[in-house]
Amino acid sequence: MYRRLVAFFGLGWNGSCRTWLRYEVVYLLLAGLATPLVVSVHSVVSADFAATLVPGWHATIFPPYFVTGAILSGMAMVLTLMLLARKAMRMEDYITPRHIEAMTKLVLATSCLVGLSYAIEFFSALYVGNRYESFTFLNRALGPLGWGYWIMVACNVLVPQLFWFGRVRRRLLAVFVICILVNVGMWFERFIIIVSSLERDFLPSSWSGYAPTWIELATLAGSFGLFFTCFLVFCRFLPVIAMAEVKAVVHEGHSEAQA
Amino acid sequence: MSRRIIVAGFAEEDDLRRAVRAVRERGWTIDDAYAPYALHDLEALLGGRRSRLPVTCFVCGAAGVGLALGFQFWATTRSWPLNVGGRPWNSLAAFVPVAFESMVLLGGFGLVFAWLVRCRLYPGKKALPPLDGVTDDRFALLIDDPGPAALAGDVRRVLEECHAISLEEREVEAPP
Repeated sequence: MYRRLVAFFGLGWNGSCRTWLRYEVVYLLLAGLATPLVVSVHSVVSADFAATLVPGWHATIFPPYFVTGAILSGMAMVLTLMLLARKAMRMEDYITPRHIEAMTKLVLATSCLVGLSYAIEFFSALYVGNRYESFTFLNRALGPLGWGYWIMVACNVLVPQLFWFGRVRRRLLAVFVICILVNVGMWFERFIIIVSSLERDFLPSSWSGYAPTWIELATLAGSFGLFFTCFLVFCRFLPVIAMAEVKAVVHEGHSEAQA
Repeated sequence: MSRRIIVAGFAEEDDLRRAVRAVRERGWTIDDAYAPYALHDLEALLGGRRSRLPVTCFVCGAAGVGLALGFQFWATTRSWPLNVGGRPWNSLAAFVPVAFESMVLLGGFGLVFAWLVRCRLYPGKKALPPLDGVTDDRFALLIDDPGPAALAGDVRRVLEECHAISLEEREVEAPP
């Protein structure tokens, strides 16, 4: 059954170099189309917030802020899953410490950008002279959800600074723990942006506290379940590394290992 | 109409490259080369026209932008005009995200579809590699038979010099 499915979706691939060369053109063009799509998708999502008048959302920094946050959380999530899959599927020869170190540097760079966004956002809110805006940010940092705000800052900005040290970048357990903390921090970022602004809007009469319902908690658990089901099904039935790309560089890998 | 081709198998990519160069230098016609992965420099060695897939992608992307802008313009000015805070009907800046997404959608789908059609690939098609192993770790070169006694002469000698591990002649009906 599995062989038949693979043969069906193999499209009759026979290894022709002309097909390979056209495939490479398609690969490059799709990468070129997908890269600005990352910027576009997160800018549009942030514009959904920024276009409202809600204090804490109505800010022009939102598009770049969301894009950098998305890259940070995406890289941390990829590292988290990759380190687990690498260990479980014994892919240490293919995903080397060099790859992981390069990714941690990207996490560090985006973490600094996210830290800059937090600082600019806070400064603008205080500097702009709009008391609703400045109240919202002081409330975020010092109000009832202040603990969540500081978890967000600690996990997204402070903890990744450990990646400045080469010893930390090369210790896989440390990388894994830091990436989990970044995942937690990015979850809190979305929570703080949404909940803190909606809890305290223009009218004190409409202020309220937020507590998740069972439905919301179940939806959260379900989203984890759906994602991990798809991820594990993918790992079980499909090649997790593009084999043709590894074959193309396997000679270089051998000569590097011998050197 | 059938024609004769010579199929040479190689164990290393450098041998295939050397064979392609030698065959081209002698003016024999290469039908195609086969490899388990993309060989980037083979495009120049194999000759032939540059791929027109980027043009297809551009045309499809431009069509996506045009259709999205046209539809939004028609919807907001003709079909269902809504006064949003006194803004003009044809607020072009508001149409940009949809136009961009449509460009990516049509450009991407059009490109992949054009590639499948051009390479005659489709789900369920039976794979017919010229040699066992060319989707694994072997390389193959297909040469149009240059003459009646080709295998006995130059072609065999040249390909063997390039470390061909197998050589055979075949009759084929259509281009493989």
